Amino acid sequence: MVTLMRRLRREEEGYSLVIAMLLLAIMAVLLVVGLDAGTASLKQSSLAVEWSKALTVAEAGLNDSITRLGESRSAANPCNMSGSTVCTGGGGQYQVSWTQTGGKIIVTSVGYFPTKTSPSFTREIQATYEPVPAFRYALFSQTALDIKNGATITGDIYSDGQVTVGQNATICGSVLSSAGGVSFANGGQVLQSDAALSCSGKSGKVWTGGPTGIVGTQQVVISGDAIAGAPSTTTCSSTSSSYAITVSGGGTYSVQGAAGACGMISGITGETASTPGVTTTAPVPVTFPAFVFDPDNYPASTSTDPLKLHCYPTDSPPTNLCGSNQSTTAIADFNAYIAAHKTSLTGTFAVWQTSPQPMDTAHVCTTASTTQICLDGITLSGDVTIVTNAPVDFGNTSTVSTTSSSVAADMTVVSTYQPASGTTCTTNGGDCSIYGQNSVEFNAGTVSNPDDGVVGLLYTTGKMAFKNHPASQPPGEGALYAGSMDLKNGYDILYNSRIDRVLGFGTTYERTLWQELNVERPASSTVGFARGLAPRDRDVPARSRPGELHDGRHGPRPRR
Amino acid sequence: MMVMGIIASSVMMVALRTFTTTATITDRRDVFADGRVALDQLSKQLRQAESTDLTDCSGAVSSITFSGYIDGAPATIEWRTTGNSPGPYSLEQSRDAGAASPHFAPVVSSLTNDTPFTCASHGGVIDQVTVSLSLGTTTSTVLIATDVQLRNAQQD
Repeated sequence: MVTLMRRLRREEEGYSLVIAMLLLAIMAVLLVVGLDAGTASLKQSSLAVEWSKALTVAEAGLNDSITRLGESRSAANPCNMSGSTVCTGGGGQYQVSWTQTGGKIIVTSVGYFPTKTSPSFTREIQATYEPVPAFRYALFSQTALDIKNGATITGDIYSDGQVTVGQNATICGSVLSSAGGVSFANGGQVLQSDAALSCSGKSGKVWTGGPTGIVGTQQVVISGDAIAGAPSTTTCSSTSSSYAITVSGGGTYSVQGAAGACGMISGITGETASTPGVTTTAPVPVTFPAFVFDPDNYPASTSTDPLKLHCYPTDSPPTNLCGSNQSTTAIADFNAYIAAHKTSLTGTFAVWQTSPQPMDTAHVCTTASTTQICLDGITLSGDVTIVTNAPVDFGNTSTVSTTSSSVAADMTVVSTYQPASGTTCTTNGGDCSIYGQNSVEFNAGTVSNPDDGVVGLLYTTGKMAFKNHPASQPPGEGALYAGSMDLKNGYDILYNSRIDRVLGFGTTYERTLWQELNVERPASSTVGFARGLAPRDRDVPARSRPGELHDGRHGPRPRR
Repeated sequence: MMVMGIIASSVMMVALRTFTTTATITDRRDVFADGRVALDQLSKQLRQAESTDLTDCSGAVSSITFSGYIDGAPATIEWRTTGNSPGPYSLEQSRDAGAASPHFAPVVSSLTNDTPFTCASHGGVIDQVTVSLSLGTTTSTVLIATDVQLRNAQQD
């Protein structure tokens, strides 16, 4: 032991070196850990920035595409995803593609950051653009509108003129008359909901801007507000019968919301508030949607798209002058096409007749007709759009249906035909732009299912008339828009929003859907992934990213 | 001997301190990484949301359910915090929130605040959600946040 102590004393020189080295080693470990953490944090931050930049690049591609399509629907794509050429923008490179079917334009953009050849990140986004909604009303008339006895309308009604609600007619929705009034026959109703019509969530409101105001009779029900407004220059008075809410002939006349009028309020019961004789705003006139035909809006006739444009007279790209030329045989030629395809009709059809004439005996149309397009008894295998300057006739007692219950079809008929002044268009025929005789039916499928059956938008700046919807059948779904219209004997309408965005009504598109899709990430982008960054791809299903974290259900990593 | 003992003790203290510091640094790195991942996922999903269950934007809430898309397929997604006061709280995600028995998976487990979601509305439409994750480490608390515009939010 003594010897050992002596040896230690003798050999204690140099131990400080060992201690120093030990300390240095410990400090080095600390330094390495600190530096590593700092580097990792920095890398995470820079990768996060690059990840965001890739989205910015993809957005740049989207914006570029929309700018090009805004200038021309037939614009060329300089950096198509199917090729190798890329566009530069947003701090990186992108490729885009777009498709157009029906009224939808779907644009897909892939953003590469920093370049496509060696990307750190690739992000893909897709946006769907559709025309702004132009058809929000079940019935829209620029002149007086007569809702016949017993009719049921599910949806809102607009008229620039007087609206008459017939005996026991039911409207589940609202009635707006910007320059006329609304008069109810016995039992007329405007409801917020109606179980029998599978209708709910409506306003049940009646709002007028004309001097006749709102006039009710026996058993009339307005389940929302009743407002008899007036132009701003009108002097209001609670004793005035103009711009008033009044009853004609007595009886129970129920307003279940608030009642307000520039004129008097009398004869109603059940209102939650009553304010007669006060300045009450008239409804702002609603602009009748204007239609502009542009052949570039539709898939070209050379396309394989079933909704491609068929033009009468025939025209084809690249000239695509459809709409610029007319033909004396356009109607006859199109009717011949219908004759051959009426059991399975789909597509977009533009029919431009030279000097279109009034229908030759409305409702007695055949596929040999030369004065009117005859849609008597057609069966749809998909969406159909017909744009024409000629009269359109749905014939007599015909049914527009689909080829099977599993097929849904939107049918849009636009007729710019203008009957001559002084002529009439009634439910018995005459000089009509769009006409249907007895019991023309649009088979809407199941009433409670808005996605099935035929939904129709019938539009004309001219005149429209239909009558006698079969009482045993559910209402036709869609909307009717006309300069003037005559609907008779229970021609029931159920508004369906499938037709609210129809191509050609206004040039404005709006984005209706934005999605981020997933693209295969290049192998290089996994390089240098610090702990915690790869899980961004947890949004990707397992099949897409073998060997990586996928579904976000792994939870946070175990803490060390 | 005494000198050596002192030196040995010092070395041991430095070593222990090193281990502690290393653990702290690693913990911070892990917590921040998890927070960033959660924020990235959440913002990616929220960006595609069509509507949320938020009706009042006056205060912060502990959960958000929204209809959106995952890989282009419609999905109902819910994020929520769980845990008891004073924390830590966990942030969990469900991608089948529309199901009768949704499945939740934890994504972050070190939150110090259980109400990370606030919203903003424009024109009567809730079209912006702010996510603020308060991440607690062994030595400090760090707030990371993002404002997300709901690209598909529309007026009914």
